[in-house]
Amino acid sequence: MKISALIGQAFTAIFANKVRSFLTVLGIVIGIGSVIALISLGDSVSNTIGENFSSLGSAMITVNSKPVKEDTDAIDEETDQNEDPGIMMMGRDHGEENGMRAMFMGVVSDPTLTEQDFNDIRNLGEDKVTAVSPEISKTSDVAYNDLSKSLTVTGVDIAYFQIEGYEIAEGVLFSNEDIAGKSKVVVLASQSYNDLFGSENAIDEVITIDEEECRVIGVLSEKKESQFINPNEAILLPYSSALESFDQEMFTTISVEAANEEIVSSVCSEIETLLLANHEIADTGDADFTIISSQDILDMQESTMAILTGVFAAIAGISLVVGGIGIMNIMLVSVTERTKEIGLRKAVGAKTYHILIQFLTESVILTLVGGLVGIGIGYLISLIAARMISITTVLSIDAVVLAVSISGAVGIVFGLYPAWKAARLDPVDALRYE
Amino acid sequence: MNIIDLKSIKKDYRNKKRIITSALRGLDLRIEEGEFVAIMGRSGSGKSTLMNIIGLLDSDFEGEYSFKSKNVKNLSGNKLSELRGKEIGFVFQQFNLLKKTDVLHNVLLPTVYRSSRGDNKRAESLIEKVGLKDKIHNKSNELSVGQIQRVAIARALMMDPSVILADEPTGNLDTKTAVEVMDLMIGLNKEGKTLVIITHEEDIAAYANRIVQLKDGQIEKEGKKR
Ligand SMILES: Nc1ncnc2c1ncn2[C@@H]1O[C@H](COP(=O)(O)OP(=O)(O)O)[C@@H](O)[C@H]1O
Ligand SMILES: [Mg+2]
Repeated sequence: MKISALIGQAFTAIFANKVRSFLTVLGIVIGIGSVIALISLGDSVSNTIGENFSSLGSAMITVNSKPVKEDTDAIDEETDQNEDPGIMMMGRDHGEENGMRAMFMGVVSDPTLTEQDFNDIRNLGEDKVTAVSPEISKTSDVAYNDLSKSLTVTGVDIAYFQIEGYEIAEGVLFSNEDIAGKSKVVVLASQSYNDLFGSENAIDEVITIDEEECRVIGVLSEKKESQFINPNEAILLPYSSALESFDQEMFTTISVEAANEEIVSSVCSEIETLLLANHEIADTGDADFTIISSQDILDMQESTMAILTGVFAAIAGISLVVGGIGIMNIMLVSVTERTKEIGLRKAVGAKTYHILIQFLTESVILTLVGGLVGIGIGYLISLIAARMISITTVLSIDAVVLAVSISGAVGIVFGLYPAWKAARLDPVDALRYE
Repeated sequence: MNIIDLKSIKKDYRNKKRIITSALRGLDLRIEEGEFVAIMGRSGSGKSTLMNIIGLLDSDFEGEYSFKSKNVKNLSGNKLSELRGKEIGFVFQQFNLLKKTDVLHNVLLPTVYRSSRGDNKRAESLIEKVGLKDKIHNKSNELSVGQIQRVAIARALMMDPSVILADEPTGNLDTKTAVEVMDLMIGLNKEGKTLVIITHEEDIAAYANRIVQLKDGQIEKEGKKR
C-alpha cells in the first residue's frame, strides 16, 4: 500500500468537508489546548515556586508571633505598649493563617517572641541550627538631607544576612559589638540605597529614622527578586538598637536555618517545646506563635498545584473524550456516506486492512490537526495567564510530544470502530448501497 | 481453456423478514479465454448476481467455481480481493469514480493496493487510449457520463487483468456515446481480453460472439454467433 496515496486520500476526504471537519476537531483542540496550558503553566508555576524557595533555602524555619484569641485581657495588657500605630498589624485576626500570610506577604502580628526565645534557639547548637535571627519591623520616617520617606525598618541579627543570602557591596555589616552596644548603624539593601541616595556615596552618611540619627555602614548587593517579597527594599539595623528605638521588647519573627533538610522537622518540634516552656503555655493549641518550615510551604504549594493540575486534567480529559466521540460520530457518518466508494475500492483489490488503515489515517490526521491547533492555542493561553500572574512560561518539547501522542491516540481509539465498520463491509452490499 | 467455470450455481438472498429470493437456481456457465460473452435477460433475472459471483465479489453461493482452473469457492475475503485486483477489471453502470479526484488518480486507484513501478506512465497511456488525454487532470465531477465510462475502462485495464466485467456499461449513455464505448470494449476483446458484458440491449449484445439469455435465475438459451 502506498503511504503517499493514503495520506493524499485522507486530506482529500477531510477537505471535501472543511466546515464539518473543523467543527469535529474543536473538542480535540480544546482538550489538547488544556493539556498544553496545564503543562506549560504547571511547569512554570512550580519552577517559580522552586526558585522562590531555593532562594529561601530548603532548611528554613520561620517562627512567627501569633496573637492569642480568647484571652483578650492578657493581650490588651501586653499590646498596650505595642499599640504603636507604626507597627504593621494587618492580619491580626487571622489566627492560624498568620504564619503563612506572614511568610508570603510580610504581614506581622503583635510581637510575642522574646530575646530569651532567640537565645535558646541559637543555643540548640551548630549541629542543629546554623543561623538564627530575630526580626522586628516598623514603618518609619526615614530621612536623608531634605528627602524623607515612609519606609520599613527592620532590626535583625548578623545571622540574618546569611539566612537571606545577602552580600555586602560596599562598607561593612554590623558586628556583635554593634549588637551588644545597641549601635545606631544601618545596612541598606540596594533599592533602599537607591531610593535614599541615588548613586551617591552612602557609607558613613547619617540618616534619621523617626528623628533618630543612624549611620550607614554598609550597602548590600542587588538580589534576585522573588515573587512575594522584594529583598532589595530593606533598611536593617541591629535588633537590639531596633528594640530600643521602636520601644519594643518582643520580636515578630525568628528566622532559623537548620543544619540540614533531614533534621528540619525535629528542630521544629524542639523549638516548639522550648518556646512553649518559655511562654509558660501548656497546650500547643494555645501557643502564641507559629512554626513553619519552608518544606511545609513547599508542600502546601505543591498540593495546591496538584489540585489545579487535577482540574485542568479533568477539563482536558473530558474534552478529549467528548472530542473523540465527535470524531467517532463524524467518521461513522463518513463511512455511511462513502459506502459505495468502499465497495469500489474493494472491487479494485482493497483488502480489509487497506480500508481499515484508510479510515484510521483520516481520523488520526483529523485529531493531529486538532492537536496542532490545540498546542498553539494552549500555549497562547499559558502565555496570557503567565503574564497575568507575572511568571514566564515555556513550551517544552515534552509537552508537544505528549500532546501529539495524545491526539494521535484519540484518533486511533475513536477512529477504530468506524474504520472497522468500513473495513468489514461486504463488497456487493457496499456497491449496491444507495 | 476455460477461464471461468461455473457448475450448478445457486444463490438465495434473504431479507430482514427472512423472505428468501432465489436469484440463481442451478446455473452452469463456461467462458473461454478471449471470449466476448453478452449476458442478457429481464430486470431481476439474476444478471448482476451472476456478475458478482464471476467477479469474485460474492463467494456466498452454492455450487462450484473455478477461475483459471483454480477453485475459488473457499478463498478468504482478502485472497479474493487480491485475485480481483490482479485478474478482473470492472466497469459499472453508474457512479464508480472517486469524486473530487482527477482522472489520473481514478485510473491509478487499483495501484494504491499494490506496489508496482511505472504506474503513472501506464495510467497516462491508458487515458490516452480511451481518448481523454486532455482531461487527465480534470476532476471526475467535471466529466460527462460517456467520459466517466471511458475513465472506468482505463481503470479496469490498469492492472492488466485477464477478464473485463461490465454490468450495463452503456445503460446511462445515449446511443452515440454507447457505440463509442462499445467500440472501445470490442477493441479490448480483439487485443485478447476476455469480455463479459451484461446488457438488455440487442444492439449491444450483437457485438458479442456468444449470448447467454437468463430467465428466473437459469439459462434460458445460449447461442454462439457467427
Ligand atoms: N442484496 C439482495 N438482497 C435481496 N434480494 C436481492 C439482492 N440482490 C438481488 N436481489 C434479488 O435477486 C434477484 C436477482 O437480482 P439481480 O441479480 O440484481 O437481477 P438483474 O441484475 O438481472 O436485474 C431479484 O429478484 C432481486 O430482487
Ligand atoms: Mg442488474
